[in-house]
Amino acid sequence: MAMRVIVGIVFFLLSLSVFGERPVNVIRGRVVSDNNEPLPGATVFIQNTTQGVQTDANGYFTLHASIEGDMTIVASYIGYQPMAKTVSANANNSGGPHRLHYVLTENTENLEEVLVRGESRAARIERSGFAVTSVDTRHLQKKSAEINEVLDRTPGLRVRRDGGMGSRTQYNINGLSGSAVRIFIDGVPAESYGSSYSVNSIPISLIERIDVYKGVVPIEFGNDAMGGAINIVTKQLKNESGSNRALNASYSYGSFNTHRADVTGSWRNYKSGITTRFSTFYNSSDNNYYVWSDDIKIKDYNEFLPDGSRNPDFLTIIDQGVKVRRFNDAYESYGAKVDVGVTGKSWADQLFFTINVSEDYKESQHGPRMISPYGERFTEGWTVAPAVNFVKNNALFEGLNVSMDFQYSVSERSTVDTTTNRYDWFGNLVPHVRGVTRLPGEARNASLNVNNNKNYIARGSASYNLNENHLLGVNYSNNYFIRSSDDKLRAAELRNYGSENIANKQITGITYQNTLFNEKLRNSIFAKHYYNNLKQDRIEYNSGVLDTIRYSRPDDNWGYGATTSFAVTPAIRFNASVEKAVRLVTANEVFGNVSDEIVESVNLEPEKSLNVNFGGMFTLHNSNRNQLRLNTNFFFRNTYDRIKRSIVVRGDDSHSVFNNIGHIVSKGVEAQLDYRIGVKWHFMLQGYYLDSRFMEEFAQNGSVNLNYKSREPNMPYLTFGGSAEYNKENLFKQGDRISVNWYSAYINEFHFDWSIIGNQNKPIVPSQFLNDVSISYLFPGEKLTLSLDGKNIFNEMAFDNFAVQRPGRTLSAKIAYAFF
Amino acid sequence: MKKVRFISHLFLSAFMLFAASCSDDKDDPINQLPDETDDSKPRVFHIAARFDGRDSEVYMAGVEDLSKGSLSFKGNGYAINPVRSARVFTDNLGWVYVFDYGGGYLQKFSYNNGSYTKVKELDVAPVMGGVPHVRPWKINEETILIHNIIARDIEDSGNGINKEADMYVTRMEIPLVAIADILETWTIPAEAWDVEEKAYVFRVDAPTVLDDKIYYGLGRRAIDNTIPLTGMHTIVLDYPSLTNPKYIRSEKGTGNTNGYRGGNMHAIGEYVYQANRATGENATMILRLKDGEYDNNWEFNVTAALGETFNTNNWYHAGNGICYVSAQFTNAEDENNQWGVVRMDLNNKTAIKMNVPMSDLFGYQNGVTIDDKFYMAVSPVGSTGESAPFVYIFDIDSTDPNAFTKGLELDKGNIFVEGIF
Repeated sequence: MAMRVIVGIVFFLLSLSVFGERPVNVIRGRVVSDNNEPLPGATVFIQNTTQGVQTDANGYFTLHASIEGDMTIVASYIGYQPMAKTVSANANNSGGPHRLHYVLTENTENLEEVLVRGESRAARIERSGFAVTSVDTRHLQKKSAEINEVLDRTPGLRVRRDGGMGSRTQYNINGLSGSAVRIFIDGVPAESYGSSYSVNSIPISLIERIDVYKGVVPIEFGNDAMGGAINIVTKQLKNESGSNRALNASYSYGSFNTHRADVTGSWRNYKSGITTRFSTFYNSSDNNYYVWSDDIKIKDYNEFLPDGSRNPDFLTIIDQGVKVRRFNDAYESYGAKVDVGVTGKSWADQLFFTINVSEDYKESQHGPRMISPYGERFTEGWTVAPAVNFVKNNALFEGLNVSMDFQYSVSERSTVDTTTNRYDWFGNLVPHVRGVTRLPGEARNASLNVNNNKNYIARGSASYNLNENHLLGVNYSNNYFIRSSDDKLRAAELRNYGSENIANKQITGITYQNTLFNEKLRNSIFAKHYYNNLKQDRIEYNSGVLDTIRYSRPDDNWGYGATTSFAVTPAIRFNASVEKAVRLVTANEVFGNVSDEIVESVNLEPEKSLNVNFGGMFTLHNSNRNQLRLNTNFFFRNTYDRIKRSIVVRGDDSHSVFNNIGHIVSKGVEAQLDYRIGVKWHFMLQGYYLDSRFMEEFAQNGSVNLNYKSREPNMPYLTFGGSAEYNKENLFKQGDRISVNWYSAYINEFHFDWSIIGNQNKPIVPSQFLNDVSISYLFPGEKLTLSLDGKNIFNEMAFDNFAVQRPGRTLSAKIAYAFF
Repeated sequence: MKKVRFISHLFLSAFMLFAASCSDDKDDPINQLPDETDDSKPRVFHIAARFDGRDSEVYMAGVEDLSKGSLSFKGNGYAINPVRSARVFTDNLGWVYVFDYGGGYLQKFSYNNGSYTKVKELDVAPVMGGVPHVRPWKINEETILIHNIIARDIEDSGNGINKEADMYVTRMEIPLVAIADILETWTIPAEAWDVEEKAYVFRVDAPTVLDDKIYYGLGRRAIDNTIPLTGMHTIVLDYPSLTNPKYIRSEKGTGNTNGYRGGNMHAIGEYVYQANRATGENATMILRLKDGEYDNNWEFNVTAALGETFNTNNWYHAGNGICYVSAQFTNAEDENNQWGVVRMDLNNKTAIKMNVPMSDLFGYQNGVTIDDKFYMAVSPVGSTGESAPFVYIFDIDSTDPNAFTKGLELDKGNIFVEGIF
């Protein structure tokens, strides 16, 4: 409970930091084109200052000006004539925000010169040549959406969850998943924040955008992200942005007693440059949704009949697929992150000290399938992660930009499974059978397992602009991860006794980028060196004494790649990228793990993949009111030395071992079509097809693989999505806005095992058609938003994984308020 | 939550009333007799196979003729889909029983025209200490036994033993699939030989019934690896009551007697015959038991009879004391194909190595005897030899190492036939 004290202190510090702000003038408005189309990403700034903002997806902006008196406020956009307007502001202005409306006229003369300048960051990333989808989350902030749901709507990315809030989540990018896909938060590997701080813990109002890199990953992500990377970019307080303070809060309540609350805020003193940011979150859910798949089996627990004879149906399944409510699946997590630092100093553009603390509690309803319910098993964990971040542009000399991060994190996760009780699907205790001693532990073994993790990360990057069109960059990251575990309830010969697994990953990247032909063509090449030093200090119980045996294995790998992006016309841009990428081996895979009954595999090689993407962005139609855009990407993944877990016999028992036995070739296409009618309507259609085949003709022992050229199992391969959104402003009152969104997703059935063997009772994840709706209303004054969300509104049986049912219809309501 | 449970209770009670009132004999699975009882139809053999070395990808398919033709699991067969692994048994009526190891369910299937229908399913975990990782074995036409050992850490009471093993057994009546008797959880005592060798019992399997006793082979594990384990051991219970357990030893041979997935002990005539899993240079011995004791006047050194060191984890009685043995020759050159088939005659104490291809029989579990022929699948692994998996048909009466023919052809490749049932 030390964690609760730490969280309390952090909250106290936060409450101090929001005092003492100066009043600001709020200027709101909108930027549209001369044919009344909104201009998203247009720049709005106060002339002769560095204060400015960009417009949102619908052309709206809110500018917080810390100066008083007359201000000239300029709106500009690529290909349009800038426009200036003057407002008069004073300190005792109490008449609410100033309102400005800009109608910009198209500038046909200098189109090419200003092509890039006004792009939003998300748009710029999508034009970098990488196969990347940048999700601008600003328009999602009013919804009670989870980040994982947002990500699941990204073409090429599948998010597969085992259940409700807090459940195990797996990301799959264009056919590669597991540890081939890495998550980053502002470039820092998410795993270093511990499992109590998940992707879903980050308040959506804190997120600027999410970049999903598919297969080809820039060097600044210093990790072995062979299949791709998801980078969650939180909002940064930039020197030039408008307000010097912000405070937002949101709360949502929904089905299954689900609560989500977050408070985020920031404050900056212009004179000292001292900036404080904080965010806190609280999530909890009973996750007591109904499940009714065939795995729900109801048994007769009457051992004897009324006449005292044995009941022939004792323990027999008397019904199946009964609708029952989950009863041991609650989840709770909370945490806080505080950054204190300075910006805009001569010696540092940015220097921040950060601390991130979080804690979670999760009950466990069942094992990997819904075979038997657990009634008491749970896990809990906590993380404390202090960090320092330093950014300096034009360091030492003009054109040299430097950034550095250091993070230390310590986290713990424990599993508690000690009960001798057993439960049925109704949450009732299963009666004891006389004479039969029941064993503790609802899952396979009783457990009081504790994992302790320590992680040190140092990252540094530097880039140098040789001239306007040529850039050289280097990146180095050093990640030192120590995990130890012990379970005092495990049998003596199977205990880890705190054996330490140490993984030191050092990844060095170097890149050269250029832009040619008036920025029509952008190219980059890069190389990465992966150094992976694995160590294990294994403590073993041998003949009554504990011995420590040291293992170590360093290994070296190279990866390289290139990207190119070519704009044929402003409406047509092609992207291509290629990378030879690596997924490093882990200590458990190489040295084994006594407790998990994994045996060593000392010659295990890292997985490697040649990843190729080719795609483009096409504006198919762009008239006064309507715009039709197509984003598409063809991909190819040639993965070899795929690591697979298989069974070996050692003595009397079977164990797991990891081997390089897979060569898999994946090809596929993803496409998204967006049609906008003014600002009112937005229609989206997307499709995804993956053809992933096992290409190993012979097994390791020389046998013919019957599954040669078969579709890789347990991998969704055909999905479609579509959405329609309607926005209307001034519905009830001047200045309000309502937004209604419908989203449908279709996931075609897929086999859990290889499809070619057998034809009856094959485990299949069935085809699903799931529908979500959301409606949000922004009150006049743009401070208060109410939204209602309905997920899986037709209450379909939903599965991401075989035989693990996800929630049915889920309703939630959210209130969000921007104090300033 | 209380309220929800109360409502659930109401629903369940209502459902059970409904189910009870609706049931009529036609729906009773016991009355849904499979094809086999119809004498006009031939016997169906069920072949179980594990795909790609994964214990949880187990399939079964029916075949009427083992002597010719071919059977492929490509697009054919029932996916048993267990949590961890599966065991298959059949009875003379034609029912198929499957145990889901890890899920803890004993399932009963009917087989008609190539398709399997689950007619009954029973969760054994509650009578096995709440543990679904327990072992089944069909011992006769009336009984499947479910058994397990759980070895716990205890304080060393001064004799060097810091493990204690609890034994669980449940007797399951077939074809009804109903629990008939439950052994009161029995803590196996640390006998003098365990104290001397610092060992404990960690597994029981291969149960065999003879007269009013049941015999369990067992595996012992060393607490101190430097002390070699000796002897062959058995646990004997009264049958069918599952009472009066005893833990006995013979020093005529050395090695564990639980076999692998049953199949290491057989009741033949007046005796239960048992083999050891010989390690190192130890001989493979057959010992026999009767009236709950080892017969100290009889032994069969199969290694000496064969003239070659080998070990076995499974062997099959084909009638008249003639047995076929899955035999591992650990000095065989091709490490993927170390297993052969040894014909063993218990009456004459002879052993010959059959000239079938070497393969991997570690996980192979069952063969069948029809008339004077014994049928078992041999699937050589890999490209080192001609990979030609077939059902091999052995002439039981012949002592010629070439007295076999090839029958049903099986899939070449990474599918392993676990047994013919």
